Amino acid sequence: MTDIQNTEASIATPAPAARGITLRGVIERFGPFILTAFLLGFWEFAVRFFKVPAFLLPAPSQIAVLMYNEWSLLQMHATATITSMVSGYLCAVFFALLVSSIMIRFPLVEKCVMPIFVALQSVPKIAIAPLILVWVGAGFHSKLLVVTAIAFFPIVINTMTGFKEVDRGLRDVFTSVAATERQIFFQLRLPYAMPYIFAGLRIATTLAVLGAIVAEYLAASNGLGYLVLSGSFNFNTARSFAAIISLAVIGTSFFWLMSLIESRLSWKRRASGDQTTQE
Amino acid sequence: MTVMDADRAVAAPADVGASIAISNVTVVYGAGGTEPVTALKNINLQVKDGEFVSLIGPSGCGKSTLLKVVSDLMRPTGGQVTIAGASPSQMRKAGRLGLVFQQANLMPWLTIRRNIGLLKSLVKGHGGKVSTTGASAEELLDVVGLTGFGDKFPHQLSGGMQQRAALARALALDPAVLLMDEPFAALDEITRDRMAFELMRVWQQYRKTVLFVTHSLGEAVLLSDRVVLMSPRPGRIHRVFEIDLPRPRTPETRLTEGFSKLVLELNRELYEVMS
Repeated sequence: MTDIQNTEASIATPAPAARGITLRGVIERFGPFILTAFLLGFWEFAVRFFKVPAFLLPAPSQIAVLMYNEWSLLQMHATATITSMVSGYLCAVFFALLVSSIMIRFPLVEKCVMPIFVALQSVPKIAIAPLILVWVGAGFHSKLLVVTAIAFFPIVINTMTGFKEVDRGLRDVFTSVAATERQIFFQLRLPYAMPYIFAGLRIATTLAVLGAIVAEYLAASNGLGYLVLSGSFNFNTARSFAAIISLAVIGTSFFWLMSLIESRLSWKRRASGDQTTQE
Repeated sequence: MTVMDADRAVAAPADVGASIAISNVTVVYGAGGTEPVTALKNINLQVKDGEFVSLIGPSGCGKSTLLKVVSDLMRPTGGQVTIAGASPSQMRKAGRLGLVFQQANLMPWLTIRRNIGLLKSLVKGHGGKVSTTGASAEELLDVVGLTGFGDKFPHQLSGGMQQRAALARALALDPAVLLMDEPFAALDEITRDRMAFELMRVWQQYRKTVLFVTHSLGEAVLLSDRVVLMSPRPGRIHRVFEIDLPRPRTPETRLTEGFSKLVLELNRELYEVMS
């Protein structure tokens, strides 16, 4: 066996690349930041040079000043959005996993329910948001429901795909010692489906932000969505921009947090031809 | 009465090993349908305690089906199988069957060490008795030549190494019998050759009863005490070859006249079966 170790070690150490700071290296690494800075600078310059009125397009510096001055206002509305978004998301995760587990345990339930889910998946859930408002009324509960409704489906569909795609060979291993249904679920299906479940969870984060904003557009007296809308009604465009930037930060952080949790809890699907990784 | 016997057999110390008795096993696919296919017809075979027996034959001869029946992954239409005096189903529930498949079938989310321990923990988890005489995961890693790879994940190992891990996982149960379904078929020729000798070394150490399905004549002759040649449509045992080559067998064994003669004879019979 030592010979195998040796060969792998020799493969693992390719000829060291030429080190040192090159222009190409700097661009590869910091390119996006440099480009963003350049575009912001251009925006600032254009607004000042052409004297664009602030209600049409505020300069980045004006937005930054406003964000600094109105920080507590932004914070308050951001808290409202995050609260409804996260609670709606958690509801969606809970019910999606529960429903998927029931469906995989009782195939008859799956036969009846799954086609409906697949059909509903293609209906834009945003379209039913006004109805939810009619039924539940404006406020936290309607926001939560819209977010749950929109985030639920991708999680269910991905989870079911993972549960059902369990490799036949892996199943045979469990069968060979007469493993119970419970063991098969918790030690085979669930871990096997993890990459699928997290794919669904990641899609759902984006949708949850979207759901929260739409609910706030429709009827709400707080939240960043409300702030964007009221800013544009009052020609306070800088404030709308400030709210949009906050939303972008929240959405990205949410997505990033999910990826972090995924790297802790899940394994990655790899093609069988993948190169042996060295650590 | 039979149940009591079976229980005693299941609880028997593992180093005694176990024999397999296949009597009158018949498997008919689509029985009762319009066109039933007889996959196996009246198979009778005794595998002695600690014996290495290979099943070989052209595709469609039912060698894999027979192995499935012995490993209780399939019920025979007629006849019965006893392993160490118990039914395959009892042996499977007791975690006494060591299966090795064509694919390594390792859980990609578990380390090699935990993969090797998986079956044992499953048997424990559903209330089966786990043999305490079995080797630890660490010892098994050494036995199959994966020392130091316990913390790696399956995708970090080559195909041959994965199959070694699969063998270790089967051995971890301290099974009464090892049932191997073309375990090296997915490997390249050179790795495959090496794995045959590795398997032989491990077998010398544990002396498990082995039922081994293969379609490589050389492999069958090299490894086995007996080679069972099967013929297709319907699957029957055509002839059983005694392989009396001295052990331990080495790469040199294949250069001997005895070896070539056996392979040649087997080859001739195989062509007869196929025509």
